[in-house]
Amino acid sequence: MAGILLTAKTRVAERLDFSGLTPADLARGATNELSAHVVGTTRHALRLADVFDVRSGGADGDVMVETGGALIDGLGASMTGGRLIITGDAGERVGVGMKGGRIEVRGRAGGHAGAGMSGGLIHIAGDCGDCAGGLIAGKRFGMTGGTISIDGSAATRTGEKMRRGTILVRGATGAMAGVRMLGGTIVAEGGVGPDAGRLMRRGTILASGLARGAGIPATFADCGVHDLVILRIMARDWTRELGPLAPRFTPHVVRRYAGDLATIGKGELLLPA
Amino acid sequence: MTAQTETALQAAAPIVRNGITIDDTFAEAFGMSATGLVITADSAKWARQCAVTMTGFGTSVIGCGAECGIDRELSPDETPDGRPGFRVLMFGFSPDALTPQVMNRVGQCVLTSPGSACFAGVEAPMRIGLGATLRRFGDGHQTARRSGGKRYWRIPVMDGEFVCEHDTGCTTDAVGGGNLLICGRDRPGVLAATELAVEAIAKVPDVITPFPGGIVRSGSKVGSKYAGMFASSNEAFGPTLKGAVRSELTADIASVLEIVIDGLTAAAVADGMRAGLAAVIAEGGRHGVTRVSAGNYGGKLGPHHYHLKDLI
Repeated sequence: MAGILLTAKTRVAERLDFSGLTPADLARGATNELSAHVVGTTRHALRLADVFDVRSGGADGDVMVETGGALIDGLGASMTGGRLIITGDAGERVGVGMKGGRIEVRGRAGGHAGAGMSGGLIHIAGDCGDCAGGLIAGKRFGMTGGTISIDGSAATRTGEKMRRGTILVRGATGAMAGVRMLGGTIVAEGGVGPDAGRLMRRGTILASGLARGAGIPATFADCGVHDLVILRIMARDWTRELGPLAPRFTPHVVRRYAGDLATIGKGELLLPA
Repeated sequence: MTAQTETALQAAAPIVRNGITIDDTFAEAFGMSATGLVITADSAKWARQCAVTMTGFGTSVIGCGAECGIDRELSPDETPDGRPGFRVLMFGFSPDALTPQVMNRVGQCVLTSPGSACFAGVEAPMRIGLGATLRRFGDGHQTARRSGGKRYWRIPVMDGEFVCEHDTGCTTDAVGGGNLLICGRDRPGVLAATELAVEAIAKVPDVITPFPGGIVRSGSKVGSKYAGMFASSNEAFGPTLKGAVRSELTADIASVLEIVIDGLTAAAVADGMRAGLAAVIAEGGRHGVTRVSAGNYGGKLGPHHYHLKDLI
């Protein structure tokens, strides 16, 4: 049994919203109900069938969306299992509120990727917008579990108010990575931008360095260079769980900055020794 | 002679292997609760030191609270943090009896050991707290970290951080009290043969031999002529008394040593006894071993009976 393939019929000018369609909905195939689902965001009320061909394709259980350049928001929102493959760029809020399964974005992703997610894996092959793994308006916490792996760079406020889970960025993060963080881990292999960890209470930001012009926030305390056993454990777990997506920057001897001391200061910014 | 007496005589016929008589008897063992820990350090030397220290004074539940020992050395590939390590096992009467033993031993012997870290060594639904309790040593500076589906505590100490998994598994399917009694002509020879047996048992996974070097020289019986004594010397196996009391020993036996074996499962204890017995049969003769027996209480106390004839 094959999976489901959605191919864009035509390039539409308006943004599309898939947040009402879980991959489980899509996996049921071209039902009348699915075809009639409104994905447009203007008064034209475009239906799924107006914009996409839905047919069998790909591996069993997979849902593949070929965006054809369309701006699609909310892909994989509230996903609980299976695999969603997005060929092209994903719009805003890919995997928002995701609970399980795997999303592969074979392109770039917009803002709020994986915001509020609690489980599963999102792999973004390109760059990612603001607030990856961050906070959804009206919610108390950012991501509370799962993993976001970004091959490119991440924009600002990555992991805002995240509580658990892991964000791995091959490139650099923009300003305020880990702002108001409550737990979890952010790894920035290309370094972090200004104000990383501002007002973080707990959690770990492991970065290869600071971006040009960025500094250690004044409310972080230099605790010196340490060989941290926990980093050895995390590196081995990442390798086992993520395979090729595991971070390549996994030192266990680092300089530890404790912060943000403007809060309870139980978080840490770890930089190369 | 009836068929029944003939069968009985055949059953009573001694089993002799390599000149060593194997008694037609059994070791009587008991159900126990058990847990395990993986202890790592920056070097194998310090991981071993830590494991030896925390398993010290852990020979018998009668007086030590728990029976403890090193199961095996772990290579860096086998440990959660990629450092050298040892797996230790602890056996007790019940999970409730094990809990304070775990806390005290890890708190006093692992937390205190340079560079150490401590992880779960048994996976089971029933859990005993490790970092769940010890984290308080951090006095508020401790932090929790999830990785690989497990929860760890990072407790600040003077050489960095003590990393300790939140809890470890506890099984109630464990068995304690498997044993072998090795009898021979002189003390050095019996000791040498028993050491070989302990080495063979050490290669069996999921078992420990909790006594000093794996060997007991003070075999006991239940009770005593003195009030308040739970156990006392088993004079039937005391060679210096063999002419004076009702002895289990023949004239040629001048020394008896015992190996007690605890295992996470009944099968592991059987495997351990089998390995020890094989080693004694193979090498015991040249060390003056003449007989192997096993200790029991008539089969009325312990549910696990390991018949030596089934282990050859």
